[in-house]
Amino acid sequence: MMHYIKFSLFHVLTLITIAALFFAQHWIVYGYVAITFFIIAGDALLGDDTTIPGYRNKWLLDLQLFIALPLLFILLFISLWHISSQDPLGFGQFLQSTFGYDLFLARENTHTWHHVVAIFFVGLMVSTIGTVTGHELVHRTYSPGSVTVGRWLLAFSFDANFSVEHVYGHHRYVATAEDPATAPRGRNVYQHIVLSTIKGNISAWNIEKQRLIRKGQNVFSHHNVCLRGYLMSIVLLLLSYTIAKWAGVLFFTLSALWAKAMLEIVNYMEHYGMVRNPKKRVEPRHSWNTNKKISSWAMFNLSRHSHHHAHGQLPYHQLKPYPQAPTMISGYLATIFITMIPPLWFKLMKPKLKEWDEKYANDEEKALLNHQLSNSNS
Amino acid sequence: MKTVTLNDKTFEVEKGQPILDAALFAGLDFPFDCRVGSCGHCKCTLTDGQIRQLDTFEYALLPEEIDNNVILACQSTVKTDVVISLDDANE
Repeated sequence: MMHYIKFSLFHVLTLITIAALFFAQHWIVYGYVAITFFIIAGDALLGDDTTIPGYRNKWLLDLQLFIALPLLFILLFISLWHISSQDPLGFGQFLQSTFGYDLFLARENTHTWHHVVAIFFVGLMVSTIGTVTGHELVHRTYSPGSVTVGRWLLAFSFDANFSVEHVYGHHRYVATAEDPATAPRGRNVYQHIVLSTIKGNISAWNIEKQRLIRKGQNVFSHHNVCLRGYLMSIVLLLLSYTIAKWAGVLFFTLSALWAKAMLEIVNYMEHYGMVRNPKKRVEPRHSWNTNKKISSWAMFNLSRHSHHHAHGQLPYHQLKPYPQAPTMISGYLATIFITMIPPLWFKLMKPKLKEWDEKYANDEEKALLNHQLSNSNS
Repeated sequence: MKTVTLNDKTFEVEKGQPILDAALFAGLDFPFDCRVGSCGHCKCTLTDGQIRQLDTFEYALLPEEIDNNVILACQSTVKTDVVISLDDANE
C-alpha cells in the first residue's frame, strides 16, 4: 500500500499550497519556504528509492494523475480571488455566511509583495502539478482522454504543444544537436530557457505541419494541434480576466512563464552536455538520473529519467531506478537552484561530465565531443 | 495470447503489448529507437491480420507507406494473429 500512498505526497504538497494561498498574507511566504525546504532537505536526508514494486490496482495510480487538473484550477482560482477587487463566484460571501471566516480581511492584509511571492509559488506548483503530470499523460498517446487532460495541465504554462515537441521531437533527438531541449556544454541555464522555449515551439510547429501535410489537411485549421494548444492557454487567460481582470491576466502570465522556465531548467539539467549520434539508439546513459525519494514521489518518477528515455511509453509506475545510470547532482529542486548559479553549476558538473566521458560515452560520442570542443575553440 | 509471425519466426504477444516489445522479449533483433512513434525505425509491413494503433502513424510514416500497410511496431498491438515483414518496409 505504501507504494500507492507515496505518490500522494504530490497531492499533500498541493493541498498545503492551496491552504497557504487561501489564508494569503504571510502564509504565502511561509508555505513557499516550507515546501521548498521540505523537498530539498527531504531529498538530502532520506536517500534513494530504488524499489521496483508490482501494482495490481493501476486505476489508483491513474486517478492520482487525473486529480491534478481540478487541483490546479482550485489553486489558480484561490490565487486570483485574492487579487480580484470583486467577489468571484461569491466565494468570500459564502465563507463568511457559512463558516464566519472573513476572507475579505485576509485579502486586505495581503500586500503586493505577498502576491509577488505567490507568482513564484504558483509557478513552482504549476510546473509540478501541471507540467510533470501533463508530461506523464501526453505520453499516453493510446488514450486521447489522457492526452487532452495532459494538454490542459500544460496549458497553465503556455505549453500544451509540449505534447508534440516532447514526444515526437525531444524523444527522437535527445542528446543531439537537433534537440532544442538538450543543452550543449558551456551554455548557461538562462540562455537555455530562452533558446529552448523558442526553438521548442518552432519544432512543435514544424512537426505538426509535416503531419498535417501528410494527411492532406490545412495547416491553418482546427486540425492543427499546435493552434489548439495556444487556444487552450488563451481560454485560461480569459478565465483569469473574468476572475480578476487585468491583474489576473498579469498574474497568470507571470506564473505561467515562471512554470515554463522551470520546465526548461529541468530539461537543462536532465541532458546537459550529453551527446549521441542521431542515427544510434537512445540509451539510459543519455539522461541524468536521480532516485532521491522526495523528487521521485512528488514527481511521479520523472526522476527515473534514464529509463523514461530508453522506453518512453512506459507509465510512471513501471519505470526502473537504473542506479548505474549517470547521476544528477542532487534531487530535482536542489539541482534547479544550483543551475541558477552558473559558476556553481559548471564547477559541480565538471567532474560529472568527466565521469560521463570516461565511463559512459562510446568512442563515437567521444569523437563528437572532441569535434564540439574544437568548434567552440576555433 | 496472439502470435506474430515475422519472416520465418513466430512469437507470442500479450494483450495490449506492442509488437516491438514482444519481438524484443522474444530475443529478436528488431530495429527500433525512440519507441514513441516518431523515428520510424521500427516500421514494418503488415501482410496479414489486424492491429490496433496506439498512436497516429503520420508523425513517422509517409502517406504512401500507410497506404501500403506499413505500420510502426512500437505503436501497434494485435487484434488477431498477424504476419509482418521487415524487408519491404525498411528498403
